[in-house]
Amino acid sequence: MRTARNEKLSTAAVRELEAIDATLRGESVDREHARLVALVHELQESRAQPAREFVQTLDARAARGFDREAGAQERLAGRPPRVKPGRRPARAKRPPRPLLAAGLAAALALSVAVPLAVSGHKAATARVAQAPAQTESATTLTRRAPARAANTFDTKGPATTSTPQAAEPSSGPASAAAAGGSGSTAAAAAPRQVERSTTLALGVAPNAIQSTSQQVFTLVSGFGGYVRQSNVSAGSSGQGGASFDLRVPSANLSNALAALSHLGRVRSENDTTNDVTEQFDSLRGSLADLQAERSSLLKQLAASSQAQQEATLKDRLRAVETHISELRGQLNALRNRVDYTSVALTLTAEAAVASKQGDLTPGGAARDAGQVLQDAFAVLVIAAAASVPIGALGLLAWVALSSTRRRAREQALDTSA
Amino acid sequence: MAATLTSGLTARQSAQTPQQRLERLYRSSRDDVYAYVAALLRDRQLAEDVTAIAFERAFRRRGLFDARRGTERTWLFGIARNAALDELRRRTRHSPHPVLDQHESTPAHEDAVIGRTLLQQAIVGVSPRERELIALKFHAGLSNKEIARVIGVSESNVGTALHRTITKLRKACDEDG
Repeated sequence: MRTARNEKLSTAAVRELEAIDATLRGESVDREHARLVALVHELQESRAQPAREFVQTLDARAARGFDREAGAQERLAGRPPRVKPGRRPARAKRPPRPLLAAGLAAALALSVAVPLAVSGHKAATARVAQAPAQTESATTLTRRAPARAANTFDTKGPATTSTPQAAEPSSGPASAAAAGGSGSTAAAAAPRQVERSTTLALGVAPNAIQSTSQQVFTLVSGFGGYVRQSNVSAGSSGQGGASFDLRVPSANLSNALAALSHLGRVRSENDTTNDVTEQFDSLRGSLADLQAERSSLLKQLAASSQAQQEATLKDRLRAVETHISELRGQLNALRNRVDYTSVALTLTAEAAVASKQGDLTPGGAARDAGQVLQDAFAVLVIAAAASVPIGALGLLAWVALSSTRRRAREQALDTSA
Repeated sequence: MAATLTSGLTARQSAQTPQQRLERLYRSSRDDVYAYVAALLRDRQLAEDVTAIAFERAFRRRGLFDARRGTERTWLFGIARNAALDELRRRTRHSPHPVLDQHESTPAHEDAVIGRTLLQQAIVGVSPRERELIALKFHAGLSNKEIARVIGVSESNVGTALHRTITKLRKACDEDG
């Protein structure tokens, strides 16, 4: 009826419509509408009546609350096929579900928002997940090397101390293989030599700078590393910080970083790698050449009978040995940089982290609660921000779908003549 | 939604659960829905299927009924209309199968038979929308306001269209008679 115009009805038409309604209500009307009344009755009598069998079946289904499964089975089992060949049966199509669409949009928004909201804590959280076991293992190891940690830290007073640690290990985990310059076969099979360096910035509670620094020494020693240099400052005002130049065995780097990250809130982390395989191979090749030359010179020296030639050979031998010594030094230094990763760790006083440092006081609990609420609010804000466009798109799609379906239905009615 | 379920209902209706109200609605509207759907589809078997689907949907969606948007009866007929029009959409892809069975009651006398035949022919001659209007008004017994809700037009528009359809039917019957 969408095409019908809203025309102004004449008085006679209005009276006829009133007569129709009165007839349908069973009331009497004027004789002038007798023909109209008869038509209304005829129209009422032309109404189609449902078959008795259908009514009984439908009543039974209604009594069961129109269980969909039962209805489908009933149709399949008991009733003859109502659909003519070549036609699809009438079936209950699933209606559009705006709530489902909105739910999906919200879920999507949350899946985007939550990682964004917690990204500030991501690194720390990831590390914390693996840290406890590693920390425990570090603590156990600490007992074997307490002297280094104790000697390298000055806990007295607010003054800044700078304590260089020169006790580099004589050889790294893999230095045995490199010391004498192994053969070319071994070099070919050797893995890539990669030099790594990492910077890690942690936020810790202002009153925990010193204790955290102590933990740094303990942890690094536990993982087989050492503190090359440290700088710790802790003032009475609660401000301060610390910086460490650490050397950690590359094999234990990830575990060590995880444990270190557990000491505070990770503010930043940066990893740098440098492949020094070519440089390494070049040094080893040069070393091998020089060693071969030295052997040759020694043989020549043993066979030499002339004093002048002997002197020349000895000069040459000294020069070669000096060169060999230099190359070995370079090779060891390079090996050391590969075996031990440089970790530049800084600790910065951060009031917000205070509650995470074991502050089991009502104030700390309140700060914890406030932080949780703040984080939750941030998540909600981000989720809402993401939901709005997604929800708007979903709504538009739903409106368009509904409109299209409505038009198609109306068109089907128009063409059903 | 719970608030909308009860708003606009009588105290007695409000005391009933949605399931009970729906069962009452089923009992009072079963034959009306069938008659309306049959008039739209003009196929008894399909009308039975679509009527069953309409009630199935109504029972399933009883929680979505909003009394602010009309009575339960208009809500039910809206569902039935959508189901019937969906069936019409499917039918347009295939050859139409019209022919609703003729009235089965035994006429009292010959004039009545002639008059009814003329009326049937006249109804077949009107447009599908006008036929829908006749079904909603005279077969389902909906008021103009309820019809307006079901088909989505204004009440005055329904009155206008209804009068035009009745006039057309009278004219067709008079000409043929």
